[in-house]
Amino acid sequence: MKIVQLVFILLLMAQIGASQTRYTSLENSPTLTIKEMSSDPVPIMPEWNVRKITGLAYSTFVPGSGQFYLGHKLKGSLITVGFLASFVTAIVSHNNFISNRERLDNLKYEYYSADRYALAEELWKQIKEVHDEQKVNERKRTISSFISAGIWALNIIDYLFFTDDLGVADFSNTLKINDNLISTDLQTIFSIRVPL
Amino acid sequence: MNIFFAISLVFFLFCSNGCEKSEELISPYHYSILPKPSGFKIIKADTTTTGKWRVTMSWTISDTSNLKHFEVFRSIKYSDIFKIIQSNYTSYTFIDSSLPSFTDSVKLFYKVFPIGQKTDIRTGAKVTFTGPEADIDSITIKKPK
Repeated sequence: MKIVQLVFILLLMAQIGASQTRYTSLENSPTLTIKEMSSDPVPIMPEWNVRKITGLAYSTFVPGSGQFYLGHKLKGSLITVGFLASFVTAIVSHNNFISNRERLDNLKYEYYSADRYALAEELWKQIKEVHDEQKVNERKRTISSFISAGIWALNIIDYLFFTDDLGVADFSNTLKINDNLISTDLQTIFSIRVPL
Repeated sequence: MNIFFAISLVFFLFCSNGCEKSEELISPYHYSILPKPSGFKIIKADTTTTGKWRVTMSWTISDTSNLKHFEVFRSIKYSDIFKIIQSNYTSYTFIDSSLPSFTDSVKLFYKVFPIGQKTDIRTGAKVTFTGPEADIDSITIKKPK
């Protein structure tokens, strides 16, 4: 299992690292152009600008919100719901795991203190049941954590390579404002600057 | 981009090492202290020379290393309300001659517990431990008409 994790991490790093070497990173200007270092057609990194960076920050901390911010509302929602569902499952499973551990500690104490075979046998059955339950919760926690991590990683990859900016229809209320009225200053007010 | 490496690593380290694993199941100790008495059976029910009813029963036990004595229990009519009739008993044959009076017939249930000692794992002290009970045996006594 750890080998699979390691390979996944290395692949993820290699993928992002490769994208770093192939494209120039952000510098000082608000709208940055991409300088392709090779002629490979894919993947095509979208043009970076303030909205793209803001969305990346959103997606980093709440998967799917960056896609939502850039206008891909269905995709963003699905990613967010998927991530939150698996993350909550992992948290609940971990909480149950901790409860099982505490229950096991109490049962073990009672078991070692039992002065009758019948009582010891009853406690032993409970210990086995709680232990099995703890194993199930551990498995659920591990699977949910990996799904969460996978969704997060896919979310970043999707954001970096497969999500274009569909426009300024974002979380702000600028939808009803005439495009001509949206100044650069207004966009700056509603955006978050992330120094990367 | 380094922030994404860091977050990816945090995620995967959390998944792989961040949460503690469940402990191994402890090994049961209670099976090895005292064995269950085997062959528990009521041999006969008869009367003494003075006319009192008596019930004779016997049993065996395979391991006596932790055994101290036995306790014999009896129940009348029902097999779920037992009362102790003999404690600190060290033999393998018991004669119950203290039967309550009855009119025509009575059904008696008997069981026996081995009493021994175990070593408390935490304190190391020897403490009393009641072992598994023998199978219940019963007999119906009828007065001759």
